[in-house]
Amino acid sequence: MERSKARLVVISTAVVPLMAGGLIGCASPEFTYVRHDDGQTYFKVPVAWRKVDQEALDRAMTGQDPESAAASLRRKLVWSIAYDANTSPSAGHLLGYGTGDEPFVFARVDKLLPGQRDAISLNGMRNSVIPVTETLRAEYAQLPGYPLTGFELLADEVLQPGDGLRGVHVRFNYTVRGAGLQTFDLTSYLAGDGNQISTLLIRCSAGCYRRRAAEFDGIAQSFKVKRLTG
Amino acid sequence: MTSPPPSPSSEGLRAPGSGPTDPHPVTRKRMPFWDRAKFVLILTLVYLILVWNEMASYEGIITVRDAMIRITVTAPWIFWLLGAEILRQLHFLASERSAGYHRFWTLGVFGGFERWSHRRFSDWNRFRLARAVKWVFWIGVLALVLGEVLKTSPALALFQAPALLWQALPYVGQLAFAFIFVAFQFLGLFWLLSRGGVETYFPDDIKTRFTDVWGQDHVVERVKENIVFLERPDEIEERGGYVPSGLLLWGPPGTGKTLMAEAVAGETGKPYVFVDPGAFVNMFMGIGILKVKSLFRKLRKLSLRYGGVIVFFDEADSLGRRGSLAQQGPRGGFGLSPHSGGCHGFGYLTEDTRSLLAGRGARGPAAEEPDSGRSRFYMGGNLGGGGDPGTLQALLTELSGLKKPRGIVNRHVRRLLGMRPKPPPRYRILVMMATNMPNSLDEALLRPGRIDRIYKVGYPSKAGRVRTYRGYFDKVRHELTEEQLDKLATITPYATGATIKDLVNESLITAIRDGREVITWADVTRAKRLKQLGPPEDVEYIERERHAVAVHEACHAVAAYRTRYHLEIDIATIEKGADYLGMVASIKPEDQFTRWKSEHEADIMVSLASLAGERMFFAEDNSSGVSGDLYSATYLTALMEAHWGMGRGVTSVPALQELEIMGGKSMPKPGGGGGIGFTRPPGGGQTPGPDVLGERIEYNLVRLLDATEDLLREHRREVLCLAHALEVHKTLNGEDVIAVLEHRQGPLADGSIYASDAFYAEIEEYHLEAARAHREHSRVERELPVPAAQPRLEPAGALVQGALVIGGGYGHAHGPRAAVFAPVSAAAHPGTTGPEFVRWGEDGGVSEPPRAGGEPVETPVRRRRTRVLPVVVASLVMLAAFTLLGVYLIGARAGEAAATTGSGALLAALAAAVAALVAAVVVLMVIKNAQAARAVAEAQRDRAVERAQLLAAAMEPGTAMRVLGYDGNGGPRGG
Repeated sequence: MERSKARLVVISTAVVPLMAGGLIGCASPEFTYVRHDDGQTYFKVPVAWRKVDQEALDRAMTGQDPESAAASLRRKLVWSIAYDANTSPSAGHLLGYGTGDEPFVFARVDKLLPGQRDAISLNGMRNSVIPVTETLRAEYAQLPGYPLTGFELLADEVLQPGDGLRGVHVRFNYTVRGAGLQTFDLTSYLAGDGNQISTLLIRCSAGCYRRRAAEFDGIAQSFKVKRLTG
Repeated sequence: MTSPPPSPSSEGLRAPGSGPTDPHPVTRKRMPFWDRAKFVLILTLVYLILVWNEMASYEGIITVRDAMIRITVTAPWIFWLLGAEILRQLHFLASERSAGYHRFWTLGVFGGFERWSHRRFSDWNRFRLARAVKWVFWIGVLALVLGEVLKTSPALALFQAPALLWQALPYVGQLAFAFIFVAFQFLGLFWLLSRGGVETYFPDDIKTRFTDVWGQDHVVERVKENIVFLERPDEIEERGGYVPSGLLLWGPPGTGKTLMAEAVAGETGKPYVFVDPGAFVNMFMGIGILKVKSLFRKLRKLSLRYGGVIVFFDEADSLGRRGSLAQQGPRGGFGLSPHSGGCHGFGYLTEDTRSLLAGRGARGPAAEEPDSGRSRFYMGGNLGGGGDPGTLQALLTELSGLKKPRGIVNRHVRRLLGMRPKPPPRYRILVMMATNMPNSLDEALLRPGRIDRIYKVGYPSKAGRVRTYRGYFDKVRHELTEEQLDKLATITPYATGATIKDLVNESLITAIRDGREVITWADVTRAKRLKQLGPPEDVEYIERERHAVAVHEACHAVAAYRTRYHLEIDIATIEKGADYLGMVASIKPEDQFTRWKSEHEADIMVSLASLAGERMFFAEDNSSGVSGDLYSATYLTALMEAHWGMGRGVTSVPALQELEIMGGKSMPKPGGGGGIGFTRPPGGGQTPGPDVLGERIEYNLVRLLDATEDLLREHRREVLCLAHALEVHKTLNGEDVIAVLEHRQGPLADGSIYASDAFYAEIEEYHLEAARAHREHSRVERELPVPAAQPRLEPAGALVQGALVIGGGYGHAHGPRAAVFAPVSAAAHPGTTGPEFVRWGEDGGVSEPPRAGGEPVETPVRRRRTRVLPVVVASLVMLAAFTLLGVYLIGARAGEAAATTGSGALLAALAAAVAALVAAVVVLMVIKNAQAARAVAEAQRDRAVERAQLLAAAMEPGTAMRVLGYDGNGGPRGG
C-alpha cells in the first residue's frame, strides 16, 4: 500500500516535469502538419518551409481578384495551400521562377461538380495542375508564349492505397523558360466517394530533386487521403 | 487468523465525541494522496487525450513527439492549470508542515474573503456557490478539450459536441428500442397482472354514516377520533405527536367492521380504497409486491389530491399469516357446540359456559393456558395464508416507509444539483384493516407506527341490539311493540348485525309463508327457533321414548325454574334436531359479565336433573342421554373446585399444571371447621370433606345430585305436567313453560288445564303406564291424556306439529287446520305428521289455502266479459250500418228517379267509414286485451319465480319443493 502510493507519487511528480522539460528543451517539431478542413486530406512538410500567402497564391493560381464573386465561389469548391522552402515564400515559386534550389510544395483539394465527376479519369488527374498527357501538352504548346517545354516523364504509376481510393503518381521534367530544368512530382487521389480530388505537387530543380529525392519522397508519401468514419 | 483485531478507530464511523480533540488545528489537515494527485492526473489525462486525438488526425505521418509538441503549443492552458495545481499542492504541503505559513495564509490572505463570505452567505449558499464554481471550472476544461478536438473555439465546441452525439443517436436509439421491445413484453405482462383487486370509491359514492353503525358506540367513538386526526392532523402534530395511521378492527364475523370502515369513509369525505382480500393471491410470484407498490403509489396520489385517503384491507388475515396476537374472542353467535351428542347440547347453559366448554373440548389437553396473553403458535411461513412471499414484507415497508423522500427528480436530480432532497409531503393515509382472526396477523404489521390502534368490534350491547333490531324491523312491516323488541334483544345475547338482519329476514319469510305481509311476534319466535335449532327432523319417537325424553327435558326445565334465577328458560322442546333429542335452552335476561358460585351450582343442578329425574321416574333406570349433562356438570364442578375457588380448595390447578407441580391434599381452612360453601356437608355437620381433588369433585356432584333429587321429588307433579305439555306441544316457549308450571294461561299454551287434580291423576297414570312399557319394552297402552274441557283453540296455533307450524297466528281467525289441539298420536295420523305448507296464493295476495272450486275462474270470466262488450257494441254498430246500407240500396232501386245519386254516394261513404272505424276499434281493443293478459301472466310468473328463489335460498331443497307445491313425483301437486 505504502509502496504503491510512493510509486504513484514518483510517477506523477516525475512524468509531468519530465514531459514538460522535454517539450520545453526542444520545443520545435520536425514537420509542419497540414490538413484540409474536412480532415480527409493531410500531409507534412519540413518545419523550415514557410506557408505561401493564401491570397497571393489564389491570385496566382486563378488570375482572379480574390474579392470577385467567381473567386468566392471557387473558394467553396477548391482548397489550396502552398509551402515554400525559400526564405521569402511566394506563389511565383511554383514553377521555379526567381528561386534557387529551394523546393516548393503545392496542395489542392477540388470538390467535383457532377459533370466533372462524370468526366474524371486518371489522365484528368495527371493533368490536374500541369499538362502531362501528350494531347494536352500539344494543345498547350500551341498557346503563344507557353513557358513549359521539353517534357520528360520520369515515373508514372497508378496508386491504389485501399479504402476505394484511386490515384496517380507522376514525376516529370519540364524546361521552364527562365527557370531551367525543373522536376515535378505530382500525386493525385480521387476520394472513395468520387466527389473530391486531392492533389499534391512538389517542385524542385532537377539537380535539387536528384539530391533530395528521399526527402521529397517522404513528403509525397505523407500525402494521405483518409476516409472518414461515421 | 491470530492477527489482532483492527483498532476501533480505523473502521466504520467514528463514535460521537471521539473526533479530533483540537477543533482549530494550527496546520492544515493532511490531504489524502488521492486528493493531492487527482487534478494533476486529470489534467495529464486530458493532455494525453488531446495527443491521441492529434495522432489520430494525422494518422500515419506524425510522430508522438511531434503530436505532443503540437498539443503543447496549441493547448498551453493545460500546462498553466498544471502549474497552478502544482503550486497549490506545494502551498498545501507547506501549510501542512508549517504552522506559521498556514496561519499567514488562512488568516492573513484568505481570512478576509472567508469572513466576508461567511457574513454574506449562509453555509448552504456558500456550498452551492462553491459547487457552481467547480462546475463552471470543469465545464470550461471540457470546452477547451472539445475545442481542441473539434478544431473550433471552446465555446462553439460545447455546442457542437451534443450535435455530434445527436448524430450518433440513431444507433443508440436502435439499441434502446431493442431493449425496450424485449423489456416491454415483460413489463406489459406484469403491469396487466398487477391490476385489479383494488377499488376506489370517491366521497360521493359512499352514503354510509356513523349513524348506520348500530350497537358499537364505544368503538365508533374511538374510530371518530381517528377521523379527527385525519381531518386536522396539525392538532396533534404541532404538539409533538403524530397521527395514528393504522387501525385494526377485529371481532367476530358480522359485527359491522366493514360497515364501520365504510362509515369512516362516508363521514370524512375522503376517497375510500377497498382492497379485495384476494388481491394479493396471484399466479406469479412478485405480482403481489407490484400490487402493494402500485396500491401505495395510488394512495399517495389520492392522499395529496384529496388531503387524505382511507384504505381498507378487508379480511386482513389473507395478507399473510405469520404470527399471533392474542386470544380470540368468543366465536359466533348461534353456533353449534361440538359436545351435543346425547339428549341435548349445552343449550340450557349460558353462552359463556357453552363456549368455554366447547373451547376446552376442542383444544384438548394440549391447549395453551387460557389467560397468558399471546399464544406462540405460528403457521409455518406463509403456508395457508394468502399472498406470495414478499407481499407482506412489501406492505410492511410501504406502511412504515411513508416518511422518506421519494421520486427520481427529488432524490437524484436535486442531489446532483447540490440541493437537499425535499422531505415528502405528509401523506395522510389511514390504513384500516378488519379481520376475525387477529392472531393470524403478523406481529410486525401490528406494531405501533404501522397499526397504532387495535379495536375489538365485539358483540353489540343490548342497547345496540335493540337499535339494530329496530333499524332492520323498520324496513319491513311489523306489529312488534317496543317491549317485544327489547325482549328480543334480551333473548339474543350474542346477536350481531348480520344475525339480526338474518333473523328479521327469516321472520319475514315466515310471515310470507303464512300469507301475511306483516311480521308478528310469533313469526319472530318461530324464526328464532328455526335459526337456533335448525329445521326439525321429522322423526317421531315411539311413545315410551317420547315420554322418556319429555320427562328428561321436563326435569331440566323444572330444575332450571326452581333453582336458576340468573337465566330464563327460552325454549323447551322434545323435537329431535340435527344433533339433539330434545333441548331446554336458557338465556340471560340481562347482560352480566361475572359468574357466581351460586349460579354455577344451579347450572350443575340443572345438568344433573336429567340423571336424577330419569332414575326417579324410571325406577333407578337411566339412559345414555345424560352423558352430555354429566360431562358438563363434572366439568363445571371441576372448574369450581380447581379453578374458580368455588370449592373447598383454593389452589388453581391450571396454574399448578402450568408450573408442572402435582397437586397434593387440600389443607382445611384454619378455623374454618370443615368445608366451606357447598363442600360443607348438607345438614350442617362438621365432617370434613374429602381432600383429593377427584374425590372432592365426585363428592360435590353426588351432593348436588341428592339435592336435585329432593327438588324433583318435591316437584314431581310439575315435572309430569310439563312432560305432558311437551308431549302435546313438542316445543314450548319459555313463557309457556312457566305458564304450565304455574297452571295459568300462557301466550301459546294453556297451563291452566294442569290445575285440575283429576287430570293430573290421568297424567300420573299415563306415566306409570309409560314407565311400565319402558320396563317391559312394550307398547304404551294408554292414550295421552286429554283435558276434559277443550279450552279455546286459537292461542296454540304456533305449537303444533313441528317448529314450522303453519296456520293462524295471532288474529288469524279461520284456523281449522292449524289450531289442532287434539291429542296427537303418531300412529293415528302417520300421514299428516310432516309439516304441511300452504301453497302460494294465485296472485300473491292474502293466503286462502282451500279455495272453492269455482272461485279461481271468476276473474278470467269477468275479463272475458269485458272483452266481449266492445265486440257486441261493434256488432250493433255494424248492424246499424248494414241496415242503413240496405235501406239506401232498396230506396235507390225503388225510386231511381226520385233519389239523387249524390246523396246516395255520400251515405254509402259515411256508412263505410263508420264500419271501418268500428272494425279498427274492435281490433285495437282485442290486441290491447291480449297484451294486458300477457303482461299479467308474466308478472305472476315473475313473482312466483321470485318467491321460489327466496324460499329455496332460505330452506333446504326438500322443504322448498314441498312448499312450492312439488311432491317427490316430479309434478306439481294439485292444480
